Amino acid sequence: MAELRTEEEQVQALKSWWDENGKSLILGIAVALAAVLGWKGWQQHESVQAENGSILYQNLLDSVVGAIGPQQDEAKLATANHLSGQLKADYDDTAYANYAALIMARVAVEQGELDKALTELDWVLAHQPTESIFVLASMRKARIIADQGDADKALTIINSVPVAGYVVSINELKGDIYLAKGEIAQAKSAYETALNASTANNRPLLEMKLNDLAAQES
Amino acid sequence: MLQSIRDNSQGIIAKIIVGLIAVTFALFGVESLVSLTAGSNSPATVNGEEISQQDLIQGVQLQKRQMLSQMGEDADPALLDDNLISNMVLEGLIEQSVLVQSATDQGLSFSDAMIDQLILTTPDFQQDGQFNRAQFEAVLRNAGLTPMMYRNLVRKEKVTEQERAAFMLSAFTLPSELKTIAQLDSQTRDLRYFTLPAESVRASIEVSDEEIADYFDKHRTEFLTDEQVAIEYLLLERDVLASEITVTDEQLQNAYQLLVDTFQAQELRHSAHILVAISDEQDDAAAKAKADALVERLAAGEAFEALAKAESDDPASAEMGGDLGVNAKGVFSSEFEGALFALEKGQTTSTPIRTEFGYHIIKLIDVEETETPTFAEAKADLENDLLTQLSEEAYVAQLERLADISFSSGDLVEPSETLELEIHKTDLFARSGDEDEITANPKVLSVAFDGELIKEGLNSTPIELDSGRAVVLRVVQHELPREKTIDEVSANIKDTLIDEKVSQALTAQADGIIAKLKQGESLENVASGATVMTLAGVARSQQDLAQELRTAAFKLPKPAADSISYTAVDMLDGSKSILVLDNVIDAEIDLKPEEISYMSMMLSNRKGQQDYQDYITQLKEKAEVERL
Repeated sequence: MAELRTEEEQVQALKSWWDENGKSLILGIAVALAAVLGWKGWQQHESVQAENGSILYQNLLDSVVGAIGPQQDEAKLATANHLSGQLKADYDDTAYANYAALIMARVAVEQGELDKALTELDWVLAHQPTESIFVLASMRKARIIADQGDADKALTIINSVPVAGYVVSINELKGDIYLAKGEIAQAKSAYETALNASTANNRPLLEMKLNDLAAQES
Repeated sequence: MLQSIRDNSQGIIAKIIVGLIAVTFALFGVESLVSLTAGSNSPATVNGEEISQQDLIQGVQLQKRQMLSQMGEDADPALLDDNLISNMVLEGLIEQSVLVQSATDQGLSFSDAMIDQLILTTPDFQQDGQFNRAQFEAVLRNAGLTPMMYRNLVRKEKVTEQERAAFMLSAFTLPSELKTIAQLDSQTRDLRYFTLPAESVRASIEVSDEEIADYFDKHRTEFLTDEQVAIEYLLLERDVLASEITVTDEQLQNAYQLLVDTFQAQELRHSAHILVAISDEQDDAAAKAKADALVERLAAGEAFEALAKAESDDPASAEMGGDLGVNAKGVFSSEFEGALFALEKGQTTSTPIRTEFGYHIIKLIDVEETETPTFAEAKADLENDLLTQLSEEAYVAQLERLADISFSSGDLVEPSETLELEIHKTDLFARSGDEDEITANPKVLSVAFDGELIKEGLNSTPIELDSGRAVVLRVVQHELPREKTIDEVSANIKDTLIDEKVSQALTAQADGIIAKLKQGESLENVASGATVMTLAGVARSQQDLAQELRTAAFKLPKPAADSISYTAVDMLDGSKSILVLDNVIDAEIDLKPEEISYMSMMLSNRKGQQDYQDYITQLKEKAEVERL
């Protein structure tokens, strides 16, 4: 069709096409560019987040090792508190923040601050942990609550979590709670469920607890 | 024909085909074709991610090396079952892959900068406390890794380690839980027991030939001999070759001459110099003029040392009056060396010598000649060296001939005749080898049981036992595992049957005793003469009581007041014990703070480990793993 026109006509046609579609074309390109750049930028941000989180977490691990167990180093404990605080504040959407809170719950238990440990565990539960971390945090929460005397609440918590791969641990914990409540038969049956689900001989403490209940049979 | 191809290729169908090919390449690249033909041969895929053959091979090699070094000198190749190791390593790789994927999914990362930092601070890669690139590469090469592969490994290890730490470090033990465990662990129990010994029953047991035959018929396929081979072999030894070599006088003389020559080359000269350097401030002509002036001043009687101190442009030697120390040939540049070795002792060069540094005025202070040993002194050493060298040469040459001839002949006769080596024959032996040094050697064993050699009866390639001995072998007899005859196994069967009968008799006896206890008879009564042992306060870890009894004692129900609980216990030696639990003592325990701290650390660690192990099991169950 083009060969029919003169050069001028072609220029004219181009111009009118541009008038008609120019804006939407530029807009289209701009939107596409923005989308690509935005995506790239977001990815970049994510990976920077992850890397910074990783560095903070690595440092946290170093200081926590010094803050727990027999050595109980005050300075390391302060560092650990600071680092976990930073992780939870600025990197709260990374897995590192969840790990940090889990670890700090343990530190709090060793310091005798059970309520603080509960706060940390609740923080984990509120921040989209993986299923596995969710179960672990719930079990730990139930243990602390049972220790504080509310066995029924502990049982409610433990009965509501998905079992995932933790059949043995969950049932052992149920047994512990029932035993604390004085419900020997339930405790025994929970321990038995746990022991049946475990691989041979890798839970000596569980066997010990179960064997100790054998008395009530005879 | 070309024309017809050309015509056809213009057709519409041809164009479509070409178009399709073009589109395929454009979208999927050459890989689409390559991968179509090659298919996947990776040993396993985990959630669609391949574990490469190379990773597996590398892992297997590493594992083997570790196992062999653990087993030490008498490594048993039968334990190094390739299939077994390969499976083990593959399972490990699958687990690793699952864990890395889980870490990646959660967004865990370990950046290049962090890896750099780690590499820089790894002691293995350091020399004198500093990171050393050459050292780093050497260590990696030894492990068969490239820096790229190593970084990748570190990244994988670190992200999984980060997740593992979250499990391990976060597990805790509450004081109340610790107390329960400690209380249970320190519980003690009061026991009484007596034993029904197997030996006394065994004497009265008889097993008839019919019973043995009957048992043999039923279990025939369980009694198999080991696979066995007998081989013949040639042993090439360097020491034997050495004993046939005599070193001639002429060879000794030549070697001595060579020795003398090298000694002369080692003449040492003590020299000094004055350097007039050619530099930016002092061009060639100026330097030469200055050097010439210095030569004249020396000729006029000025002391070399003083002049060197004052004028030399070589600050290090100028300090010491130009002294360069004692040196052999090959240290200085050739112009310098030529001039130095042309000098007589105490002489100085009459003109400056031009080298790349500038003009040197050289003085020979002293000549130290090392004393050349006499022929008699050197003879013993030379003879020894020559013998080693000649026998090594002969050994290598013979080894090559042995390889060639045994490859081309059907049996060992020809190589034996050509190389004048005796053919040794062995008895039948199994994969585990026997006492003979050759047939106990792991390398020999693995070759002797090589399927190809067994089937074809071929000569093996030379197997180097050590640096001075090699073996070529050939399998002459091969016995597959076969069922043993009744005569070979009747003794074993008889023992098995006796054990069975003893156990039956003892069980009946024990059942009777337990029934009497149930009716309220005392243990002393039912023991009917056997010694009753009484133990008060037995702990879980008490060493002086048999493990079987302790385990059973702590499994028994707690007896009510004024009552007992009891059971029959199978002992390791086939005897039976009748065990009575009188009392359980839950003493109040009082732990010191250090003990509490230590125990809680231990319990927490164990918990963390269990949680992590459960987590791995779970990941593996969920993962889609395909094994080749």
